[in-house]
Amino acid sequence: MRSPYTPSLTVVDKIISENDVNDIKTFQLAFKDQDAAKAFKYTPGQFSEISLLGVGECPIGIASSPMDEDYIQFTVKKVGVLTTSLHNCVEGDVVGVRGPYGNGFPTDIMEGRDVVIVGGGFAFTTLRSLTKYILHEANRKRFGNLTVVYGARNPGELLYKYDLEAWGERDDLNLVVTVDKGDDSWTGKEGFVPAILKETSPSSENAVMVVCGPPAMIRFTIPVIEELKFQPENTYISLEMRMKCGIGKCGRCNIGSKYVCKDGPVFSFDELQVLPKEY
Amino acid sequence: MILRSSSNRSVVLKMKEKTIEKKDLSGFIDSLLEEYQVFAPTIAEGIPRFDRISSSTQVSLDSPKLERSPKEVFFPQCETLFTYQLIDGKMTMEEPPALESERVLLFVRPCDVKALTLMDSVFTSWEPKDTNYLDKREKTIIVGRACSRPWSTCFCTSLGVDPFGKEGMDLVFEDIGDKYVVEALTERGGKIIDGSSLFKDAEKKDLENLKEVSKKATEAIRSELDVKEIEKKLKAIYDDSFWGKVSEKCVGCGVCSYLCPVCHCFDVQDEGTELKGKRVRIWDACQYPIFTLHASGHNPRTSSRERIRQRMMHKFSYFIENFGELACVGCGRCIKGCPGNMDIREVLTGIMATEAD
Amino acid sequence: MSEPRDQIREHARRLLDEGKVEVIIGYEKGSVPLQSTPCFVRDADNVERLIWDSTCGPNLAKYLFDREGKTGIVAKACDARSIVVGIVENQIEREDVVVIGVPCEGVIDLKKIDAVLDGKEILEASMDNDKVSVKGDGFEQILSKKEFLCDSCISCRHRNPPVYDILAGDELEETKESDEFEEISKLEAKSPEERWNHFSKELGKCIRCYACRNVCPLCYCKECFVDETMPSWCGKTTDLSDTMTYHIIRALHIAGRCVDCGACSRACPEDIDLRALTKKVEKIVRELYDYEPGLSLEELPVLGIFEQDDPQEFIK
Repeated sequence: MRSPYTPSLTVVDKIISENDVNDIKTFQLAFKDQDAAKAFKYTPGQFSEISLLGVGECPIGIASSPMDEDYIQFTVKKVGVLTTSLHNCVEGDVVGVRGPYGNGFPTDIMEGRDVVIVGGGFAFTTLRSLTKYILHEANRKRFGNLTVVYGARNPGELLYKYDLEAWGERDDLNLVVTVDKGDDSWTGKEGFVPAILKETSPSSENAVMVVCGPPAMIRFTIPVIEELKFQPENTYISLEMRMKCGIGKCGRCNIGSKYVCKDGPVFSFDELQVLPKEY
Repeated sequence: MILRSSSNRSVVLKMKEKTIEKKDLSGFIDSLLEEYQVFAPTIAEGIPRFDRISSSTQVSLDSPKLERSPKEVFFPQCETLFTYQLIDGKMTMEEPPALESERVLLFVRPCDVKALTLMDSVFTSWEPKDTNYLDKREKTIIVGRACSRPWSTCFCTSLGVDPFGKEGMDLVFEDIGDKYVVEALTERGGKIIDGSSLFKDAEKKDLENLKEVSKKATEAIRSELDVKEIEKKLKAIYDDSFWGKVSEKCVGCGVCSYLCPVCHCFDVQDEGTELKGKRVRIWDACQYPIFTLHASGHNPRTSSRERIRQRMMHKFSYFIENFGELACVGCGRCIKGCPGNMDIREVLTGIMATEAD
Repeated sequence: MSEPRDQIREHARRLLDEGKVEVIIGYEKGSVPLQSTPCFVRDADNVERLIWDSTCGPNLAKYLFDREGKTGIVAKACDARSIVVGIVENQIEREDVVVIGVPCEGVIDLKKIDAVLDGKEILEASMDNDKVSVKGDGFEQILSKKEFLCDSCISCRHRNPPVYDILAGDELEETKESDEFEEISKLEAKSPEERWNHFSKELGKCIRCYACRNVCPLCYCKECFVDETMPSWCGKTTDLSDTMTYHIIRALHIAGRCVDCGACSRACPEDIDLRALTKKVEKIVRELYDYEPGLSLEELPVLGIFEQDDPQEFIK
């Protein structure tokens, strides 16, 4: 009987620095054990418990797409003990991975409908997974129009610039990238995500919206979502809480009777309406 | 898979009651020790608690205060999840071995057995199950002890726990004076007394005595609370100023959680270096300010108001939503343990009396 | 002169009525015999809840830290000394607090009473000046209060609050009946091995509930060193090395600040002899600096200042 608390070991294959200040990096990991690799089946929006032995463990959203078969990616901001140590890792280092955990985005509900993805700042990681997943040639036809509105504080803070560039050349998605404040070389949009979302004005008809971002962005985006007439049951958000076990036992990530690790992290707005505002 | 004697999967047997003379109890315990690892109430450094024993002389059934809950027999305060070591450039991890044989846990009160069945809900109802807990739980025969001497802080009956209840037990000992009436409730329970000449068939008089004792014990519970539909009440007063008042004296320590037989929250920590060490889980408590503190500095429960509310909501509302039962068995340990004498009975009475503002 | 309890109520009523304070922090009767509980009175009609007797153990100064607004507080001598430390350490604003000082003859240690009752549970209790009567199922006993005081009260040298705005009750004569550091001297006389065994046994019982830290008014760090993770100074397990690290560092952190109120010992669910550490540290501070904390608003914390003639034998 294998303990659910024992991680599978992976090796750091590649590290990509994502922003100018170098406090956000994407770690590409490969499982050491082929069976573990095969068993790791996930959907966009799920997360893993990432660990460094001797340092600790923390939950990180999966940034790669389930269609990326050879590796998994996690984009990590340097904030706490584990993430700081992770940032000191080099290629070849060993990282523990448990999971995948959580419910993920409702791709089944999105099928046959337009999808609007709204992200701000560092919270874009699992939205990138979702975007990549929908854009994959094996999946693209199953979804309607795809709109991605993504904003960062400044051009240097935009994640996945390599993806944004490639996506910008495609004609099967409406990609709107904005920064709060541009620099001399910035030729794209300037403005906060809520305003740009309003300007983009995606249709809510037969559409699903997914929104992730810092609390302030969410607060100002909610009125726009309402204005655009996206119904609470068609609007999803991914929440963050402090977690330890990832499997609904250690008791710290609850919002009301729901555990964010097990019942979330993705909730529809109408699910959230009945939960206490304690997050 | 060994049949577990929890509330939802118990094998209820109707076996004829036996009796054992009190003077023969130590002989029975010593005979168990020949075959099983035995855990029983003992007194260690002045604190009564359940611990592994090596002789019947260590068993203390009349401890001067209510013993610590037996949760630590299944969910130790500090437990190794796995050890790891880097050998010749290769990282190896090793989980602690599963228990090799069955254990017997002796003389657990009905409230504490009930608490174990509640902990089962958390650790074993959904996948992945908590294998560390499950292994110990499945391989432990629970010998209950009817509670003929309730403490002044007990309020189990108000929460639907019967001091003579047998839910979750494999075998039960009921004190009727100079002997115990012993009843096997599962095959596993029957197995440990089968063939022992110390147990005789109960006589009619013994069972009449038992009725009398049980009635007296239930009547001896002084606290009576009405918590009917408390989960609805709690929802209604979630934002009430009541929480600010009731939490004012809480200093945010972990005594109530650590003494509670149902509280199961834990933390996971690494002990060691990157070359060698272990990952452990340690009890944690929702009253600590850092319990929900994010690495970013954000904290959804910033003051004792939110934290006391969480504790009460978890036990009397969220747990009902998730498992259909209260996460409190009315043992009263938190009442005497609290350094500020915060009394959960008073908090409950306060909740029921509050009209949402 | 009326009883201190009545004086407390009278002052509390007046302070609330006159709007001098928003809240009075005092004691009320607890839910368990011989226990009091902190009580926050905001309405003058509720001052009758306030009590004063030998069950008033919790150090209420705890509740002044991080509090905003004018507060009246019932303070026995050691609570008042904690308030003084809070003021000189710039954690409490003197003008925000109205101290209702109460001379104190010591509070009772329930654990000591439980120990002589041998498992019998107290269901009812009453007290007068020097007697405690306890009643339970089939027993009734009258105990001499003096024999059941907390250890910190037995060795107490400051029964009168050094600083107060109002005094409830009459000043008491200070006593020096016993040697304040008697227990510490006994420990010091033991061999290092015996001492190690004592501390291993005591601190080995710790369940890391942090009741000792959380009831201590002087443990007001925004983030306690045991909770810090970057770096992690102290493991979180109940292994002896971790529990010792926690208690030793805590004792050192309150060196020159601890007023020996005994709240930590009373709060400990495992009956750990915490004062063996804190009282020893107090003794060292006394010997080195001839200093007792919490007695004067003019004196800065002894380990917070430097003077040319500070002892420096430890610098080798």
